[in-house]
Amino acid sequence: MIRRSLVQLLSLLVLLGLVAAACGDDGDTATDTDSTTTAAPDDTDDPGTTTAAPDDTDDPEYTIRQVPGDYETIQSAVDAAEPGDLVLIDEGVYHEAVIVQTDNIVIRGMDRNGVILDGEHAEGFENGIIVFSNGVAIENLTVRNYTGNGLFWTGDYGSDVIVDGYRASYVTAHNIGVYGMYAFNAENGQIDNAYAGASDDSSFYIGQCNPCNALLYKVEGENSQLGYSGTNSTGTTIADSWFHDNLIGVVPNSQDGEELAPNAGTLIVGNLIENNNNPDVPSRNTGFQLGLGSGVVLAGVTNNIVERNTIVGNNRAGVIAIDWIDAIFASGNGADYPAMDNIVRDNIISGSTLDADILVALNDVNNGAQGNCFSGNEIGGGTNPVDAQTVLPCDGPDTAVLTTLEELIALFNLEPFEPVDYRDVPAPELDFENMPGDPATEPPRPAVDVPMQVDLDALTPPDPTS
Amino acid sequence: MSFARRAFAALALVCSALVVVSCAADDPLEIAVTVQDDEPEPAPTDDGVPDDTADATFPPVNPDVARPSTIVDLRGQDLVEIEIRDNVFDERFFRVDPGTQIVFVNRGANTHDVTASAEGAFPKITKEALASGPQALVLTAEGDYPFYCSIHGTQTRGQTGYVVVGGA
Repeated sequence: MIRRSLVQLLSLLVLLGLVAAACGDDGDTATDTDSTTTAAPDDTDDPGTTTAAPDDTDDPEYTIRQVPGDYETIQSAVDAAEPGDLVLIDEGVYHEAVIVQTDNIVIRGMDRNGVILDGEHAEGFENGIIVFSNGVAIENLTVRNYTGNGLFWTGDYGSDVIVDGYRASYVTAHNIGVYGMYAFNAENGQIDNAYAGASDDSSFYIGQCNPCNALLYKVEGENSQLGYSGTNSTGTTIADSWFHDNLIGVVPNSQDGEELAPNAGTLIVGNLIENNNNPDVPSRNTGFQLGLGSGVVLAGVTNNIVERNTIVGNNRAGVIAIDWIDAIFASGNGADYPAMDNIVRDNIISGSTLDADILVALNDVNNGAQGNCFSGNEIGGGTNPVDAQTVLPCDGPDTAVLTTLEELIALFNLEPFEPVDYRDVPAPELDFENMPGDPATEPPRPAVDVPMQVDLDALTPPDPTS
Repeated sequence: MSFARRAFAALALVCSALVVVSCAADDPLEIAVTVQDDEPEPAPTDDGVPDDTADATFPPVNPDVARPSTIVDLRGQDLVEIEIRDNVFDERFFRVDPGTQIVFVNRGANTHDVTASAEGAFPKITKEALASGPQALVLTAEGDYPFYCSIHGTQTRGQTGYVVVGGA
């Protein structure tokens, strides 16, 4: 049927106009603030405040660009910023979708809970902040209600342009259409002291990087399909974090939806991964819905290490090593990837009602356990294969008799699943911890020396009651 | 309507360039067709008055987007499939004949859209449409059509693509 209508054209132009506005570089997006900053925008080309760093530091000189004091919008301040500058945002709600194309700037809110970028689920407001540049740090603010992603660092796919250096600290993302915080084709990054919830895919996502050299540290992910997802992201560490009340907790995986498969190295250490049984979450992947009630799913990955975590209350399975079968988990157009040579050791694991505190689910049960091994874990219930740490030890032979995938899927006996619209998940109370120091005076620290060093050896399985 | 305006409208009609086609994956010829309205407004001048005397060009040009140096030649085919993955169009830069069905298929885990980088060049193929199945774009007017995914890119960065229609 062919239809022609002026209304359609007008609608299209409005739509494209909204897209253009979201991607524009000027300050015409609506801003609703209760700022107490009184400095009026002036007529100079560079209205920011230049600050000389103290003599006893190595900090270079930088310019503070205040929003809305110096610039009406975050976007206009970002566009004016030069490497090393600080975009400092006063309290208020900003209806913007910000694009960053300048290296080594810092975007900071004056109050994590009071500086809010709000996409209002509007067309043209896909990403809260999308970053194409190296070394950009985002601190002390909240993003919410975006149809795409909350915070998004991305290199240019199909070229050699990879983002080098990113950081998100003391930030919050909630009610997001895809990923709360998303690093793609990006290396040398860090997300710390962050909260992300109610995302249609995952709260946190690291994808397509090798080596990623990425660190998630002291983050909290809840009320999403997945607390963490890492596709083809070799070289990521997830430490001292909390993933709870998702459909599934933590899912490093390999698949052909993007480049650099397989995921050949994730370290998951010192985390609390609990009660990921929540059916009242958004979910956009029917394959992942099979895993409702799972703590850690090693999906087609190799050489991943899961150690010294507390993985409790995930009522279907604690830790699963499973082959990535594309026809089950994705479109069926991609390759399958085996779960191989993964190490699960020294964790506290309990809570499975299906005798699957540990579960090995491989496509070809005649191939052995493909080097996946389990040692030193404190197991609260049963495992599949039975007594997994005896038959699949990390320092001994593989003598396991494995259950077939078909039998395991039947064991899970998933009821019809009705995901919740991400917009309808209750928002968290915004009382999260602010960044240390005074946001107004702390010098900007671009993401040029990340990730930070963490004493991973000191981490022990967290106490779930604390 | 001035002569220039009428000429512009006529040109736009002749171009009739912009057809978005929804189609089944296995039979792209069974399609529902939506045609973009065919009379783009002339660009306003600085004083806000439409410039009826200006030469109309179609497709519109985005001066920020240059034609890529390497473009894959896919001419000679009635239908070409462009796979979308996370976060890329593959092929990314290509040339087709006028009237070729350019079928976009999302095989990524993410949602994607196809948005013209020059406003009015062709209707947006939305993420909802692409989530429902392959979508075909038919461009009958020769010229350059840069495009991008508005979720994972901008007109010039990230998930971008570029199709040249015809031999120009």
